[in-house]
Amino acid sequence: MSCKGCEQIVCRCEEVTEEEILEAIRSGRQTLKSVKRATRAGMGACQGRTCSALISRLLTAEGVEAEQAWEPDKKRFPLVPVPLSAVEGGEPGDE
Amino acid sequence: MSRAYDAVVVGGGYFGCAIACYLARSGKRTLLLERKEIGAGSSGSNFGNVQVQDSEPGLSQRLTMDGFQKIRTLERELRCVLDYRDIGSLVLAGSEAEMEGLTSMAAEKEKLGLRLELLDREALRRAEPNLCVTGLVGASYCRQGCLNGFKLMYAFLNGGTKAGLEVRENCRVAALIMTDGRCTGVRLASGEVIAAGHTVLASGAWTKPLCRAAGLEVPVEYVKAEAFVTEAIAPYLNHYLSMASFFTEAHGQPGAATSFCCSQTPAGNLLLGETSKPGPDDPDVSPDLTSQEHCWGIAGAVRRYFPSLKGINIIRSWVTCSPYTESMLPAFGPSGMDGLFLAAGFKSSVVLSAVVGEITAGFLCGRAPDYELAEFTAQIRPVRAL
Repeated sequence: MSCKGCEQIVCRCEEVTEEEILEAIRSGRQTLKSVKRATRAGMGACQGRTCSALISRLLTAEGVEAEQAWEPDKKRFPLVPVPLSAVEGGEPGDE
Repeated sequence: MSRAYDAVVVGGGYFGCAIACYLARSGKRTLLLERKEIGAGSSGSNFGNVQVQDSEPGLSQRLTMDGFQKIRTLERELRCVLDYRDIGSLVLAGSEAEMEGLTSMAAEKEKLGLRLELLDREALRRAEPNLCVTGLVGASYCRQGCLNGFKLMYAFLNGGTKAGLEVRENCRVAALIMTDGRCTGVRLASGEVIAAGHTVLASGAWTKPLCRAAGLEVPVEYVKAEAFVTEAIAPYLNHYLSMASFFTEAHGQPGAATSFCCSQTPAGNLLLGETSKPGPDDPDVSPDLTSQEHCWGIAGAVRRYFPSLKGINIIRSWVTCSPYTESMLPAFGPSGMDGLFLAAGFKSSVVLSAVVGEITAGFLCGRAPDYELAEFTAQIRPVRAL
């Protein structure tokens, strides 16, 4: 996957490059979750749908064991972007 | 068994990482234990605000002022990037009584060297044009800062590991080990025993149950806090916004009311948060799923204060156990039990993390303390026999 002399975007939502991911892995971030927290890769609108597999590959390429490299980040509500108005309840002050 | 550590630090959040970093840099053989991953608890759920205007008078205020100085120079000290930026904080008053509270707080802070500005509704509208000020009386303003909380924790870790710090994640502490009334280390959930000269608990909501089992009553409680992050949008908020009711209600009273806060990240995402009620005594069984109550609460607050955001997309939510003490003073200092030092229940975490790390390392290295922590440790007591 290396691409000398050019920038390769791994996470398109947050525009995180391969180089930034590798730098994070090499400074000790050895899981999908910690790479995300260090670089924002996977924090965008698609929540890592595409880039998490790419990052797992980079992790294994850097010597992280497969089980750890492919351990998925936690999925959380709302799974796909939804308008805030879609989760509204009653009138303000209603509990 | 491996050689005992000089210090074992329990909890990989802001305080655990900072304390472990400064201990290692002071030459102590240090191990940091985290039950999940670094920043998995309330620190990673935090908005990264370097909050200075909400400290209690007295030592808390002094620590906050010293912490504010320190955190602003930390990028140089640790040679790291924290995305630190100056940003103002607005505390919104929803009633005349809350405005009076802010006014007297401002007068008190002024005496201690912190300048707060008071804004009436019109000034508030000018300061935050997208905020719907209907129903608000005014606000207090303070210039403070914001940084990337994960980068802060990783900077402490990187600084510590360069000095020999060992870090173990996914490592749950089951109990403190007591030998002749002295804390001599910890036992992990796996059964493994880790011996240490000093045990430091920076374990937030988990501090109370760990200490209680060892015979120590530490009044660190927690409330459930939930947040949404939205898609990135153009600059929308100028400040970090929180509610005056937070200081009187959310932290400090059992059965507390909900309280809303929000800010915008440098990337443009809005962070919308709400604190509410205490959870079960054991934070391990506290529900981790986003609640309907908070969906309604946060969406309702946005509808009230930011009607123009009605169509904004939310992309993720989270839930955490946000520690506090009823006294609003942290359980910070020597526990009264030999070998056990506590650093939990802080009100504003980011601003205090580095200074607390330094003070703790100094204390455990036997350096003469610059701070008299008895004000904080007086609330730590032995468990009363039934």
